[in-house]
Formats: sequence, C-alpha cells, structure tokens
Amino acid sequence: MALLKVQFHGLWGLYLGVDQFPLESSGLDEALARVEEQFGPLLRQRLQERGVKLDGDIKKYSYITLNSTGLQQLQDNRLKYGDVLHVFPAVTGG
Amino acid sequence: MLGYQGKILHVDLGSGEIKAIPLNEDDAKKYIGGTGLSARLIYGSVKPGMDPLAPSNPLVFAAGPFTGTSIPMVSRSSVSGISPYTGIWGEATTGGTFPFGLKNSGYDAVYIVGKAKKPVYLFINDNKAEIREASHLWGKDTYATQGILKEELKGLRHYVSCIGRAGENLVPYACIINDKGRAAGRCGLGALMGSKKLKAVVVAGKSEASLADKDRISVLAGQFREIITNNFMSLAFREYGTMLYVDMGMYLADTPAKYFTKSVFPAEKITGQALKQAYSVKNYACHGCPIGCGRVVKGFKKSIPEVDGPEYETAGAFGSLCMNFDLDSIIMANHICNAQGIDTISAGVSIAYAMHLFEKGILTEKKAGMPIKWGDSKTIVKLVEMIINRKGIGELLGKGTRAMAKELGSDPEEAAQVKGLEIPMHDARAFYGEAISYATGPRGACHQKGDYYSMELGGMVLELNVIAGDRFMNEGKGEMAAKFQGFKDLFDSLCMCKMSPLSLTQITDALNAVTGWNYSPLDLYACGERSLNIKRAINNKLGVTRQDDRMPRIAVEALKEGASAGRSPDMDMLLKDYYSFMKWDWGTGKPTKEKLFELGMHDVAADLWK
Repeated sequence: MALLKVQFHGLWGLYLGVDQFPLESSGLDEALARVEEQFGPLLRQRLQERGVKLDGDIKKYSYITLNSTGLQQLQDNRLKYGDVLHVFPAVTGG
Repeated sequence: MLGYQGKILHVDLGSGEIKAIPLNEDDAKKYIGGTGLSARLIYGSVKPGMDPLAPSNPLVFAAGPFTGTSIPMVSRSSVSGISPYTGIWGEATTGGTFPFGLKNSGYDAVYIVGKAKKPVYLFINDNKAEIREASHLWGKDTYATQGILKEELKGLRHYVSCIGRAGENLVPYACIINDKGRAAGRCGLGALMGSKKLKAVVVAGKSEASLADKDRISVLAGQFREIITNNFMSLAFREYGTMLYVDMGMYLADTPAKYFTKSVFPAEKITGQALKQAYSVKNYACHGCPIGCGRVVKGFKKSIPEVDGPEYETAGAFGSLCMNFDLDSIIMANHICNAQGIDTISAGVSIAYAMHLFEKGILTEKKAGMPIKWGDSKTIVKLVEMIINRKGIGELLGKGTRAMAKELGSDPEEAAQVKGLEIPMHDARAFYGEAISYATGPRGACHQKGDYYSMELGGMVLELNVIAGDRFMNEGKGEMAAKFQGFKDLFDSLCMCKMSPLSLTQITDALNAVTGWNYSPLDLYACGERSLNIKRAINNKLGVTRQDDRMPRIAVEALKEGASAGRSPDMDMLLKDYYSFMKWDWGTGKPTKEKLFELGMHDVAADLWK
C-alpha cells in the first residue's frame, strides 16, 4: 500500500469543495476506482445542477497525471509513497 | 453562390476608386473564406522585398460562409495582409458582432489598397460603399472612436472596426479593435491600417446571403447548440472565462513565467476564479454564442467604468511572464492595449524581455530611463503607454523582441519569437506538438493555428486520426501537429470560433447545408491544407526557408522546475516528421510541386518553382 495525494484542480476543486485529499492504495487502478467511487457521482450532480449532463466516469472528462506523467503514458500500475494524482478538468486556455 | 454574397469590395484609398468584383467560385471552393480566401486574394500582390507599409500592400477584411447563419459560434471574421511587424504573412481574427455586420453589408471580403491623403473611414451599407472624412476621429482611442461614430450614425444599426493611437503611430504590433474591446490582435495589422490613414471600417446592412438548405441548417444549429451547451468546457468558460486555465496551465508547466525561464508561480492570484472574486465580472458573448467566454470587468475605476477582458493570454503576458501577480495592473494594461490598439501578447512578451535584459545588465537604467524590474506593476503599465506613444524605451519595446535583441546586441536565442512574432502563453516544453506548431506556423509563433495543448487535453480529431498521446513524445508528433494545424487553419477560413467543440464531420455537414456542396470531411480538411500551403508559398516568396522554422533556445531548453523539468523537444526530429507529412522540400522549405499539384494549386506551383 502507498500513501498518495489526490489533487483536484480548477473547476473540479471548486465544484467538489475539495482541493486535495490523502488516499491509501495498492495500485493506480484501485486509486482511480476509489476517486470515481468517492467523487464521481457528486461531480456529475454538481455539473447537472449547472445544466451539463455527462455520462461516464471522471476519467472520461478529465486529464489525469501521476506526478507529471499522463495516464496513457504510465507503463504500470505501481504507486510509491508521496505520489500525487492530479485530476484536471479537460479544459484549455485561450 | 449559396452561402456567399458572391462579391468582393475593392477599395483604393489613394484614387478613391470603389468597385465590386465577383468572387471566383473556384477560389471559394478551394479556400472557403476568411484567412484562406484572403491569402488567395493577396498572393498575386506579393513580391520579394516588398515594403509592407507601402500603399500597394493590401489589407483584407473577410467573413466566411457560416457568418450570419444560425450555426452557433461563427461570428468571426479575419483581417489579413503582409505584416508590417514580421514582414511575412499576417493574419488575425476577431469575434463580436462586427463579423456578422461585415457579411450582411453585402460582401464576402473587403480588399483595401492605397493610402488616403488624410484620415478616412470606410462606410459600407447594403452593397454600397463610400470613403468618408475621419480627421475628427484621428487621435481618438478605440472606445471614443466607436462612441463618436455611434452618435453620428444614430438610427442606423452598424458595426465598427477601428484602430487607436498605436495604429496611427505605426507601432509595429498595433492591432484592430471592434465591438468595444474585441481584438484582431496579432501581426501588426493595425499599423498597416494606420499606414493607409484608415481609421475605421463601418459596416451596416441587411443583405443576407442565400443559403442552400435552410431547414437542414436549422436542424443542425439546434443540435450543435445542444452539444455546445452540454459540453462542460462551455460551462467552464461561461463561469470563469479563459483565465480559468492559469492554474491548470501552471501545474502542467504550460503557462510560462519569468520570461520563459520558470513554470512555477503563484497561479491562484491571477486565475479566472481570482478575477471573479475580486471584481464585478460579467460575461461577454459574441453574436449567437451560447457560451460567452469573454469577460467584462465592471466598475474598475471611476474613470474606467468597464474593461473588456482580460483573457488568458493577457493574464499570462502581463502576469506570470513578468512575475506580476497584481490583477489590477493586468486589467489596466489590458485596457490600455484595447483602448489604443496593441497586441497584448507581443507587448507583454517584449516587456518581460526588457525585465530579463535589465536583470542581466544588458538593458541598463541609463538606456531604459528607468529601472525595469520583475513584478513591477507600475512600470508595466507605464511601459505599455510608452510603447503606444513610441516614447523613450517604448520605441524599442514596440519593435518587439527580435529587434530588441538586435539593437541591444544581446543573444538572439533569447528573443522569444518565431519569424518575428512573439511566443504566446503556452510553453513549448509542456506539449511538444506545440513546439513544432510554433516553429512552422504561417504567421510565426501562433497558439491559434496549432493549439496542440487543446488536442492533448481532449480536443481530438478522430476523422484525421489525431489523438492525444504522450505530450512529451517526439516520435510521430510532427505529423500529428501538421494534421492538427491544417484542421485548425480551417476554422480561420470558415470563420468559426476555435472554442467550438464540433467535429470535422459536423462542420462539414453544416458547410454542405449552407453552400449546397457535397464535401466529405477529408475534402474540407484539404481546404485547410491548401490554406496553410498558400500562406507558406507567400512566406517563401518573402524569403522564408527551412532555417526560419525553428524555436529560440530560451523557449525550448529544459527548465529546472515544474512538470516539464528536464524535458526539451527534439526540434530536428519534429521538423523532419512535419516536413515529411507536409511534403515540403527540405532544401528550400517550399511546398513541393507534388504537394501543390495534389491540392490543385497548379498556378502556385508554377509561380513558386519557376
């Protein structure tokens, strides 16, 4: 098990009322599943309150990095103590 | 021609001649409108060694086939010409209501040459145009100009695009402003307008273009509106504007700081959330847009009751890049740029460069006439005014980073520009696709033509197999970036907002409904490629070669901090891959004959390879 930090950025933090929280997990897949379980329904509810109905889990409309590496580029499921899982809304600037 | 007015207004400000020329249907089908069509119109006037400020250099305002229709997010128009700032192809696009007015005045484009003897404005109303006296407007800022014209034309619904004092003063990166504070910002086309003594273009009229299939357009418009409204990105922009990206940009190392030498900074001080908390902020939406990403700061100062903006790029340029986290000064600098008409990106980068050079002792207090220190918000505002008035050190900063490096004898690899245009607020080390887009963009470093960061963060183009991958990967990224550039160039020809989440297939459906054409998505994509290639051919004629397709060291050498620490794009690999896909000649940097033939650009091939 590794202790990591999950950090919600930008709108996600605002809508969820949580910027970051600690999470103990045996692997990346489990960590993502727990983020979805704990925050997915609430985030979709907050978005729906603002007129946006989304299907699918948080991963589908977020850009997620483990430290600075994107999910797609991660070679394995391993986590280490002190890792930070960043969850960004998939929006860009002007 | 359905979807078009079918004619272009030609105006010679020198002779006073005004005439309408039929729009060539083949040109419309190949280049669509906006910047693509403008490049086609301008191509014949491009001569090696030409003076961009010569009266013969055309300035072209253009709309697109969607402009004026009910398709959402299409109130955009373009301004193009050979840039007096960079000396190569120049283009800028804008939103608001002016684009809608331009199309409904009865023309697809307005092609302006010559130089008036005294200040004038061009008045176009329902298929008629006249050149009017504007001496009373000369010297006025853009807000006053729009206000005076509003009063003079009371009773007539009209739309104004104009320059401020910067354009009159021929500040090389002067811009053009419409709808209070919407800017056709880059490439110094405001200086080109000023060189013609043209203070404003005023459009009015109700000449709607005929459309091929109104029922289909109505159905598609409804569907698109729902897609856009139900997109959480729309929600995000509606609530916080483009500045919401500042903190995310910082975490991704995409928002540059301290003149491209840092990526970590107190982002929370200059985000959209911070703006919303500290000021009374209202939304601004372009004509027919369901999002409203624009910001208007209300009650800013007693003397400035309203400020249009700032947007993300401006917050970065006057903020993190200058290590300035004082929102008040960012808003003030933004307002002055709007009021007097200069590009906030080139201005902010030039000021940050001055700070960088001051710290290194290359720009001294004696030379500058003042200390120019990191984060000095008062100095930033003062320098913006000096640039506009071409006073003191402002004269040099107004020439931009390339000229600053040359005149001050500093390392040209520290001038953050490509082909003379300053690098915007997306860091090439954070997304390698962005690096190659900047290096090869038709107007120089441009985040609009190849906003690769937006693709990596979810804006994929499935029809072209452009999909998100490892943002730090070099292999194959040149080809992906080239495809994405062609796709995004289309938006400037169609005159669509780049925030639109519509797919290439959906856009093609809409174009077919508007024009009656039977394009496939790949047919339409070829128009984007054609646009890129004619702009490249123009640049080749003006002396651009492969050696110009490069990034300065300051913008690509690895940083020591942040999410991109230790990483640097492999520009050689990226460029080879890009050239290979584009079929550009490695020796000369020109599009090959083969490529030009493939795109049906036989006349360009004959001219470029004669």
